[in-house]
Amino acid sequence: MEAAIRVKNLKKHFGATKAVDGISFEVQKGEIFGFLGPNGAGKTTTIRAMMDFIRPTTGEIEILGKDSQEESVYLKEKIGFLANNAKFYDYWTVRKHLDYQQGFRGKSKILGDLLKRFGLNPRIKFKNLSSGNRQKLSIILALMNEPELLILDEPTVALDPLLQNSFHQYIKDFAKAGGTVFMSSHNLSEVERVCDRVGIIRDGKMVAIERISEMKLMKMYDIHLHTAGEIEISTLEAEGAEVISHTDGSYTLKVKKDINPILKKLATLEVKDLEITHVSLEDIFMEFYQK
Amino acid sequence: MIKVFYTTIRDRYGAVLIYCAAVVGIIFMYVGLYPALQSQSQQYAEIFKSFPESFLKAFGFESAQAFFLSLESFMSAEQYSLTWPILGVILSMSFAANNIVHEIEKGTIEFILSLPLSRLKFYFGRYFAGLFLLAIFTALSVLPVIPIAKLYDVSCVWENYFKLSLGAFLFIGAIYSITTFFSAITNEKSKTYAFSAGIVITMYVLNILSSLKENLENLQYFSFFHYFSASKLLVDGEIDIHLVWVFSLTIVIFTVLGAIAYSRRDIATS
Repeated sequence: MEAAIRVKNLKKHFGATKAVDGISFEVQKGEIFGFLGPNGAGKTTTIRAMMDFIRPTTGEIEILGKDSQEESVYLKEKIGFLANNAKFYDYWTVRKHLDYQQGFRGKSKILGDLLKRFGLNPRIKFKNLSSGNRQKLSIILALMNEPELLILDEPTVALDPLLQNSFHQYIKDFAKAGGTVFMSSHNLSEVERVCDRVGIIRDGKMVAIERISEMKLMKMYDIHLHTAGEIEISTLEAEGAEVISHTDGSYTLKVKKDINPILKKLATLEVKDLEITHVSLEDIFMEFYQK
Repeated sequence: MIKVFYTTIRDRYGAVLIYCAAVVGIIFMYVGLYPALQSQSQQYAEIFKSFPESFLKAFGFESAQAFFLSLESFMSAEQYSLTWPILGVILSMSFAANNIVHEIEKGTIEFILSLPLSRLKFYFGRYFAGLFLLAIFTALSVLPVIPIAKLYDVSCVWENYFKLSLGAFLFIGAIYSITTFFSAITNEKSKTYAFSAGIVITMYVLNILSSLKENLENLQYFSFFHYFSASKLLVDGEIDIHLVWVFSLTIVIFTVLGAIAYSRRDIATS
């Protein structure tokens, strides 16, 4: 499979601040890649470096087989970009923004369909648009020239659930047709529903790159335990198990990977009630966030 | 680049027309008043005698008697030595700040940078659009004196207004280029204005200081206000070669420096 995005040892330092500190990853053509991380982790900095808004301190970024800095103008013809909280010209109408972009990227064949699909009136000035409609304009600008690659920084912020679904379906169809999507998001259920793989960045470093399907198989459990009386916390100490909270004989534990060591410990106790559940994918993401 | 140039002009020509309309209104007033004021020139000359010669010189009056000698000397003193430069400086700084730093501050630069358009083409598209509008502003705020003078039946040396247009355009073009440079290297409009307005005010003060004390005379060479003399251009019809060189070099140097800085810098909006 051919890589649509190849980032190698990317570092971006602002003085002493290491916004991005040596991350590497690849996104294959036709893939939807989710880029996750807490605020300030380096997601937007990475995206800006990929778009050549900022220049890496060191490292290489290759997009569609070209150097992102040297071939910036060529690549921008192939990339549909959506900025986080995108800003446009207050006194321009939606139509003027669309026409301006078409002046550089050629006439869009799907603009009418997109305007209809997202329900955006092109005659309204940007300053009079609601936050949801502003986001729709950003999305339409990213999609209208049928790019090969979509780079989206939190694309569904401010969209209502119906439009979010419509947008998710659109990018799934886009990827099925051979397009590649690189999207950052804080909406973990969105990532779970849409993405094929995720990369998780924290403190400027990539802490995990996993397939969503494999992440779902990661064994993590929540255990809710009620005992006949108070017990020593140390009684619950076992490999991979962690007591999250406890009150009056009621204990909540998180168990990673193998559940058997803690089960052996529990077998020695007088248990009144016990509930063992698989944690959600969101909890697994949170594990990576907090590691 | 043509698209950027054209769109910029479409977005900004309104401001230029408003400025020009205001200046033409002022020109109508001055030219209309000139015959009546000229008839009372003797009385005004007496009043002017009470001012120190250097003070008059600092504000563009070579001498009290010269003030009403011709429409050119009157217009030079009343309009083109102080009021017009202030308007020109404000307009040129505002255009220059809007070229780059305004886009960064507002966050609209990300929309521009996501287009298949090189940074240099955007920079020069914006730069030349602003320069073109400043040329229009200069022409429409200087040359209307000729037909208005005809309207009031006042004689004027028409070719000197063309010379003033050239000198004035180079003057505000130089300030525009300096401000564009700061617009290309800063992230906030207030910083762009602070740096460029600081330079202009410093140059104005240097020019005044140089005319007040003989031992400070050489300071005048560091001031644009020394090279741009409306009275020399309009009254004497003289285009000083130093004016052309200093302003042209300033325009070229700061424009190129701004282009290099803008094409190399990181652009991150908040």
